Amino acid sequence: MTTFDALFYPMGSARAEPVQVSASGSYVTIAASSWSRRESLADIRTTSRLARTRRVLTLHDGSQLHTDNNDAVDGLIPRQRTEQLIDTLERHPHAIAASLVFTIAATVLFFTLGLPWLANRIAQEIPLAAERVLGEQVLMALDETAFAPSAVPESVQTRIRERTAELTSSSDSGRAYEVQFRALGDANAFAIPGGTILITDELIATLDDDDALIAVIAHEVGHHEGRHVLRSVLQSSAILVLTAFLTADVNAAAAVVLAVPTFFLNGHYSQAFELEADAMAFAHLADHGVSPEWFAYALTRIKGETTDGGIFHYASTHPRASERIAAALAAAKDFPPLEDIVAARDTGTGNVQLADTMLLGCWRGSIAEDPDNSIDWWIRFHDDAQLEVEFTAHNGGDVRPTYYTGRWQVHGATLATRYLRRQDEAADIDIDELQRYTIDHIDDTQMRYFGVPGNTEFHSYRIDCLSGDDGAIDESLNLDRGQAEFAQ
Amino acid sequence: MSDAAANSSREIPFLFGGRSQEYFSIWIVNLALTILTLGIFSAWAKVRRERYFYGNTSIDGAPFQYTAPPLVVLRGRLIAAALLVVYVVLGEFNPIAQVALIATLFVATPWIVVNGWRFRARYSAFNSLCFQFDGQLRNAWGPYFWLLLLVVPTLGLIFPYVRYRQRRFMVTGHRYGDIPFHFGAHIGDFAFIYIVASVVMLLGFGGATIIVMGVSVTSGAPATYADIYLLATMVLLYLAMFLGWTYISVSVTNLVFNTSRLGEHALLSRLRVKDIAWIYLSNTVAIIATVGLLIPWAQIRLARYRAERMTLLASGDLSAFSGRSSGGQSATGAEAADLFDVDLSL
Repeated sequence: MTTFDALFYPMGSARAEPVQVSASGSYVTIAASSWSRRESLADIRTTSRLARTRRVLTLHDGSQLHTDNNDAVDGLIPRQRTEQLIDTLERHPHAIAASLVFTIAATVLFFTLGLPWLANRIAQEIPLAAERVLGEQVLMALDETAFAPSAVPESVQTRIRERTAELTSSSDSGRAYEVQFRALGDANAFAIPGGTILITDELIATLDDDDALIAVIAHEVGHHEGRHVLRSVLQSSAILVLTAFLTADVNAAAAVVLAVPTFFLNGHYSQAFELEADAMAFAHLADHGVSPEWFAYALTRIKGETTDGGIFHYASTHPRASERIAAALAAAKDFPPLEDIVAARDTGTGNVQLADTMLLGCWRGSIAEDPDNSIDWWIRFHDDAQLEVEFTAHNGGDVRPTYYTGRWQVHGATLATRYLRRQDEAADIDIDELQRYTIDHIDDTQMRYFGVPGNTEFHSYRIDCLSGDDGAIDESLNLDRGQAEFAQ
Repeated sequence: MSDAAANSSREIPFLFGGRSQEYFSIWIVNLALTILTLGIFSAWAKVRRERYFYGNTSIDGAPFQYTAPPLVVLRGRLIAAALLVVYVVLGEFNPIAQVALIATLFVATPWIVVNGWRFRARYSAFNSLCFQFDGQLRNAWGPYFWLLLLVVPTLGLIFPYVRYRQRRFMVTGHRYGDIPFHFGAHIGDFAFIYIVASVVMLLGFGGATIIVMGVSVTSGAPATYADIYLLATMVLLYLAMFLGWTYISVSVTNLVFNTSRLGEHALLSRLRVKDIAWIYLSNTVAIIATVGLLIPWAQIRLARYRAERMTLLASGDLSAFSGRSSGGQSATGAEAADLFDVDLSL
């Protein structure tokens, strides 16, 4: 027979009376000093067992028995299976250890595999139209706050759009991508939800080769194909909701406790997306005969991408540049080195050899015996495809007056070709003769001749956009190249 | 449980008997079960957690009781979770609708507050008698809606008054058994706390700025260190804000407890700003450093400190109360308050 001491609280009273509770059969007897009562076991409700906390037995009339004798209560009233299980687990060392291992493993697995998988599945179900709504808002907000209208000539924009369309024509999703141009102040490219790829003027200026630009665009296409924006939104939202739940009861400077894991998790996801977009870009580029090495080249050119971030790396949104470059080079193993590609490309057009396209080299050739002599040049072009070239000769550090300024029509690669022909006679090039060449178009391809990889001498050039015929400079773009390290 | 109804005033300390190791076991098992059941069990886990902390806090040998039924908690939790998901998703796809949701929740604040307290009070008991909150929704509109609208136009100057009205509404709405709580703090007490906090925070901000600027100017630091100075300033500013916030929250808590009465009984809360600030800071560091495994320890530690600093000034018989025994009320208010942090202990 079970007997235990308890405190009896009559219904609606805070005054307790010590009683003795004893059980026999399906009844319990509650005995106080001056009274006793009998209760059917079936009419007694009890709180579930929880550590050493006091048990409360509620009788049918609402009066209560409080006791610390948990074992006796358990012996008296058969416990509900699940309640018993939870209590057993809470006090069983193996169960506690197993819970700890399980919780850690489940959390790690969920955030590394489960959530990304789930977000991917959900993202595939969300219609593109919904994503476009999101994209329009993003673009609108960015246009208001960060972006300025692009100054990239229409002809260049059209060319980049055509190449992008070509790149994505055979993509699995069959999606069409819209390329937009904006000035930002930073060389960057964005995948705007809904299928827009936004590239900055500064990126075009920094990447002196269309193929490098296409490599970056292919990366952004990778973000689109992988629905990365949506997935990232879904994942960070899930983190927010889950951490809110897990830490709803943590009152110690809760914002910081929440912010730290959120920060690192989002960084982790973002890096994974970057690598995924890289991999997709490499495959796309290779399919279209563009060497993935161009992507590595682009990374080295874009300022800030080459820093590895040190210990802050794990919180960064982007993977280490060195790893990405290595991956690009590995993906490009079936392609010849970029220099050969550029050289072969130019030969193909019947114009010039890469090594010969260094305009400055030609001139330098003439002054090689006298290191104090050099000739600087500026090349100017504007929207109507007119080109202005200005040569300034330096002699022993003194700048002599400009002895040639002219306005040319640029015609394909003829300008470069002309110089090439002159290479062997560079020492006595006839400036006036150049004037006779009419060239109706110049683009980055020509500009690039003056700054190709491998040319370690040439450091900067300036592009001035002239407005109209008065020749006033509308906008200047100074491009500092630094040493072109890429060739090493 | 002294039957001898001593009429003289006695000081009865609050005791907290929770143990970190014991609570860790409960916490981790319930967390694992919550994960296994995809969150459903979290309602049961919450009830067990509350029961543990209530049941280990006692006055004169009698523990508090938390009696909320898990199913009611679960329902509230599901509604709050749905709201949170809608809120987060709207934030990404439709910020305007999100603002509308925030506005709706703001208008619903009085309802959330009143129901949250009603829920918590009804399911909190001591000596078998439960607490009650019978503050009326119509009276909540003043402190929790109309006055809040005035905070911005008055540049926050009205805030101490708002807080005073909120606390008054909270305390006077509560009963233990049949006896209502009496609220004795004055608006001047609140104003004083906020004035001190403002001065301290302003001095902190000013000091931080001067120190950082002084250092960067005198050392003629190169521009590359600008980030470090910015970081240092931010840390100092946050520290000043944190201390100001802790000061306000501790002082208001002490003020409200120390001026409230329940019948002839009074409470004495002696929380100290430096203790609470230290506990919060070290708890945060410990939790982050152990990726959350010290959460139970941190919670136990805080609960123990809070109990240690609380004393009941009992006048007469503690068990002379009568009323309703602990024994439904929507849990949505309480849960929404938990999740959205509408909690008023700002």
